[in-house]
Amino acid sequence: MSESLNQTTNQDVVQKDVKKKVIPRQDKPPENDTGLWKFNRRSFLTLTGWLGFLGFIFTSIIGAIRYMFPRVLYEPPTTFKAGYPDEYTVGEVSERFKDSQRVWIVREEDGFYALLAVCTHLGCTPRWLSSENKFKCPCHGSGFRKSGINFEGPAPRPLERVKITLAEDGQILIDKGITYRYEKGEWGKPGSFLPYRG
Amino acid sequence: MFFKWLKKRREIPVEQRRYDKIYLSLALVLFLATLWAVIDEVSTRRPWKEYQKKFYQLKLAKLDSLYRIAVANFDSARYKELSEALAKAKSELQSEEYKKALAEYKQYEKELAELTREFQFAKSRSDEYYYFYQKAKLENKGDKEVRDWWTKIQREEALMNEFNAKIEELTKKRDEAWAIVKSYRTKVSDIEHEIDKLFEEINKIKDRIQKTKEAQIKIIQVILPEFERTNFGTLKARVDRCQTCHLGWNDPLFEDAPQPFRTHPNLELLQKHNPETFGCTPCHRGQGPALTEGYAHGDKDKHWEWPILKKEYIEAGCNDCHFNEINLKWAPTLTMGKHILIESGCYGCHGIDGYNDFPKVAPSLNNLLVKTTPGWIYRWLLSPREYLPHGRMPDFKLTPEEAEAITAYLVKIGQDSMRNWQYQFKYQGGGNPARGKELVENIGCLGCHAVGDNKVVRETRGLNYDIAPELTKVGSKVNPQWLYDWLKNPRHYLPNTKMPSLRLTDQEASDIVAYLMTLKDTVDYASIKIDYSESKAEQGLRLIKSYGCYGCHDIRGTERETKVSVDISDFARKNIEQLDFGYKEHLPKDRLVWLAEKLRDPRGYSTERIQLKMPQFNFTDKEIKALVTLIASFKKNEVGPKYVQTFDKKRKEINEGRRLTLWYNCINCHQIEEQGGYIHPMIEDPGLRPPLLTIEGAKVQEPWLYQFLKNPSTIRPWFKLRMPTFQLTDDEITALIKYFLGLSNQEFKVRSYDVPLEQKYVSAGKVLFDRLQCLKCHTVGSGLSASMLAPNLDLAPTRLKPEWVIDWLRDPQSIQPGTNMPTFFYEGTTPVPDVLDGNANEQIRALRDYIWTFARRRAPNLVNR
Amino acid sequence: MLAQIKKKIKSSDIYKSIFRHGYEDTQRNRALMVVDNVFLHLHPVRVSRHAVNYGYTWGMGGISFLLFIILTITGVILMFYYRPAAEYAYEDMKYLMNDVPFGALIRNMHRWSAHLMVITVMLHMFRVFLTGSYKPPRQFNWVIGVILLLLTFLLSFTGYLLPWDQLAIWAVTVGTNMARATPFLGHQGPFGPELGMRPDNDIRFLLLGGTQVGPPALLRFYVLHCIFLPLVTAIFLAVHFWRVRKDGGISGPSPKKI
Repeated sequence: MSESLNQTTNQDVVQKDVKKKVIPRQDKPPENDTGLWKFNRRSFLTLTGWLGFLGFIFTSIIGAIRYMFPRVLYEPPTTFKAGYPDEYTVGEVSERFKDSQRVWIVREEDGFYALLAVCTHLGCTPRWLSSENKFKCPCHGSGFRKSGINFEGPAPRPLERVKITLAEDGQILIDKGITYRYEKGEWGKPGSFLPYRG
Repeated sequence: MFFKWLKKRREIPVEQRRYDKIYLSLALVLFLATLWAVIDEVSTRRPWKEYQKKFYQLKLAKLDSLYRIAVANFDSARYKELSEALAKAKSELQSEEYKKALAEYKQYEKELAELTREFQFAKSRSDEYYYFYQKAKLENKGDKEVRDWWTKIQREEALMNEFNAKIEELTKKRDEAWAIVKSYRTKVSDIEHEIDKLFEEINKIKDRIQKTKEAQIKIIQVILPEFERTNFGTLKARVDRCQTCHLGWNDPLFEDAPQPFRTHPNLELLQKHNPETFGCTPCHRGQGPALTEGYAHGDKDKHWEWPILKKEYIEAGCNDCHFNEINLKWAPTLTMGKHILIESGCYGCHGIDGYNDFPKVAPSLNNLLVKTTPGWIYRWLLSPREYLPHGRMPDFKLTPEEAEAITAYLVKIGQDSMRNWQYQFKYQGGGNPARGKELVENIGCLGCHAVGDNKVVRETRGLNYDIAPELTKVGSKVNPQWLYDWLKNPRHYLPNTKMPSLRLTDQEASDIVAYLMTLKDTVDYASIKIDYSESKAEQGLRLIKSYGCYGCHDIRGTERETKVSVDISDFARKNIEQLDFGYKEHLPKDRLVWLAEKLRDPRGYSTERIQLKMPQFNFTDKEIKALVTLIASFKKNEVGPKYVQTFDKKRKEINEGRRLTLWYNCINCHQIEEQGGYIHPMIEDPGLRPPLLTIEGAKVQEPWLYQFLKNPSTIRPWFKLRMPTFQLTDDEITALIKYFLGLSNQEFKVRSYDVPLEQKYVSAGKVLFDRLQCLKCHTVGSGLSASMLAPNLDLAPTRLKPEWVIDWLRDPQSIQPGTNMPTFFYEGTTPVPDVLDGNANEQIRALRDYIWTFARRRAPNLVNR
Repeated sequence: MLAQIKKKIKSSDIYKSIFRHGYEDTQRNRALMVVDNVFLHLHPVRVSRHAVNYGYTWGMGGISFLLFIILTITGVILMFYYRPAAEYAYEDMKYLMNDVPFGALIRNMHRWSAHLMVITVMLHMFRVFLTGSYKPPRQFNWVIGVILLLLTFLLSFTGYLLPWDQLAIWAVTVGTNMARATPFLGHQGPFGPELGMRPDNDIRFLLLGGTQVGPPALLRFYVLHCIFLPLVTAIFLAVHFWRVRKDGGISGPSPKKI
């Protein structure tokens, strides 16, 4: 086998020498250069090859971008279930989830809303004074009405409401990841209030 | 063809070879591989997507049929009626006053909103000025500027106050307007509410359908922080994603759906272990974060250490957190496994965490010759099943030589001790076998021992082994003098025996001995000849040490030996490669299969090179399943302390009590916590069965209970059964008292059981006592006799807790079902309307107070006793 | 019109600064393209005829280098999710396998490429040995190659620990136990104890940052695997390629035979 190989290489050398003589200078494109954009059977194969390669590159880039968005996170869930609506009495400001979730659940006659127990001044947890029907922050004396609107003290804006809906099993579902601000006119949005009558 | 092409190609000069075809094919391969990777990523590796789609389809179909049923059941007549009423009510809203009030209300609302906004603006301005005011002060800008800002603030604050006052006023006005509006609207809204209620069912289903349609295909996971441990002992989180596929676990709609959607069979248990926060793998095991079936269940991933527990052994999961509890309500198999382990004495040979300090299960063999003959010992060693088909002693499958050697050693140490042996009670001979038989059958021996055909306790316990030796052939085993001594005081022969004394009189003991000695075996033990030579005895000692007999028996000469077999505290951690299957290579390679087979045939894995020594127990399949369940949970606890069942004082006391009641077989006769009472089928009349003890803590006074357990006295003379004297230590009695108190949610404390007596109640009580004819069954003041039907009430003030008596009188059947005590005050009504205004509660109190006067009358006696 | 735009673009500075030489298929242009390209400049401008003969070279050096590049890219991508801490490492690996889109693909590419690279590097050496290409003037490059083989092994070994599963821990435990017996430097090796080597100050400790395979070992192996060893390997690769050129290009059949 090696012999035949040697023969061909010898022939190649001869051919090469011949070629060199034919084209003395090669700083110009050859006359019959097909170029990349000229279309014939050979370049079609190459072009398809490139197409496949570009397809790979394109898919890989999409894949790489998708790679940056994992399907699940290990972040703590923002939602929690707050029991059945019947467990709350009308007019009550429930402090059941104040310690564990920092949320008050207020039961009005025609439904529920949930207030985030974070003072809009410097983030203390206010107290609910049921006798005075208001929230009072123990840090700097900000006061909020039952609706959450501020009326005294340094707090610059009303308390925030969080999303409250009914889960499929009939329990109240609260999502602290979505907040509604009064000053942005968001308290009218569905989700800030859960209509419910016994 | 390829080589042809290659050869042809090789003939072309290197410079002129073309690569476009090669490039094309490689590029295509690359592209196709990329496509395959995408398909693999999106679909092949994510079977849960398909599961979720299927689940929601199934759910929609189910909801749809529900919806149809709801629509079919819709009360349209009622709806028509209501909507007519609604139209009528609405027409009433046309009144001028309502319209005016409504307009006012709307106006006030608008003004309020504006005012609130103005207030917020003023507030913002005031905050702004305050900032500049403070800044000016800090930078020493001069009095004038500071004062300017201050006046501005004052102005805004005045404004704010004004607004606030206006808001208050407006709110009041608005509320007034709203009250008027509401008064008109109530009727309408009430009807609307009625209509809503009519639609409730349909709307609920509609809502569920809507939510199902909107459901996203996504991974559902639960994270348990600090749940398990790394190999370096630090706590780490457990991620659990089972609910990504097992979507219907909490929906009763899916009870008969195919897996993975089926409803969990025990939703009641899940109330305490909510999978939404607790996940599934803490109980079921498996690989939480995995999302394909084989990997998630862990049974197809041979590298996963904790594959999902199969249904039969599912309760092993409970023990991860509840490892320190002996009885678990929801895990009967695991509980049974624990009981079998304790009663079979597995810990005698195997180290098992949590059980290592339990006492030896079997009697001491140091004084054996006092009790029985060498011939019997030899036959027993050779084949324990021959003498006791249901004994707990396992069969070591000894050869006759080995049995002879061990007998020789036991005889040797027996002879030593026999020389110094003195009986406490001398058997004078005599006794009536017929009376003995009656006694054995009636005073409670059968609670633990089986005799002849009576196997009730064995059958109701549901276990294959007896907790005490069967007495069918006992006459051939023991000598009468020993038996007499043993019956009179079992602790004389075995100081730590469980066998209680039944406080037999000399006559009774003689009768029983006479009866038991008639129960003979067919084997003639006396004719067996044994070589007692010193060398045989030495060989026997070596065998005892090698088989580990000392794990269960006290044997002189083996005091310093350690457990003979392997520690199984971490059996469940063993890799399958660490288990030797011997010649049973056909078995599936599964730890638990290996274990079950080991228990079934302990020496089955022996080979020529490895001779196994574990003896043959007589476990049934059910018992093996229970033991496997338990041993499958032996993995050396690694659950984070946050998740382990808090083992507080009360739980600890209850657990200790459960252990004691199991150890002393209290539950063979008494029912405690829905367990035990194995003797019950023997006694037809529920009133003659040993009392239920779950309520004992609430019922009796602690000092009385102490006295009673120390030295039982007769309360119910009509019982033929006797409460035996267990010779419990003070510590054990305290533990039992605390256990009973714990069961009734009571604390152990020193207190008085007197009740303040008022003349009014005492005299009313006396009237009631006569009218209700209590003395028809109960007695007062007289002695005990078997003709009595109910306890002597003289005992009550020193025995019962006063508040319990109230509960008892109110409803005896709910406390002790089947009792003969009549329910006088059925559902709070009284049969005697003319005493204490017919008030049942007052009357009950009066009765109790009257009974408590008996204590005063007999006080001197009490002191004397 | 189109031609005009084309011309304008082609004559703009930006175009010229990127595509310096166009596509003219002349020998000069080819040479310029190679020389002026940062990625190709290590490559000789002219390649001898035998260099493209796969039957002779097996292309193993090139494949090894390609695998090195794949490993670098996939490795960097994996680093987005991997945290080298005992509590997280295994979880992150599982996270990549289960939850990150294409995570399993990337990790498998990394793992298989790593296994493959060890094989190809060894085959490369085998070929060099068979063809006698280690002989002068290439004796220096042979030594570089041996170092590169060692670095490949070390990269593979350090990477083996990172999944932090049982296989990894025990493989590395066994692997590093060998270091105990290092002469002079290991506490069980010849003359080690005499030189005062203890389990907590010998070469194994240096490797593990502790006396057993624990969290510090994971961090050490991670830094070695992701920063130190790749950097060193890259430097040696550069030298290796450079020497290939300077020693007369890729070795070929003896000139006598030609």
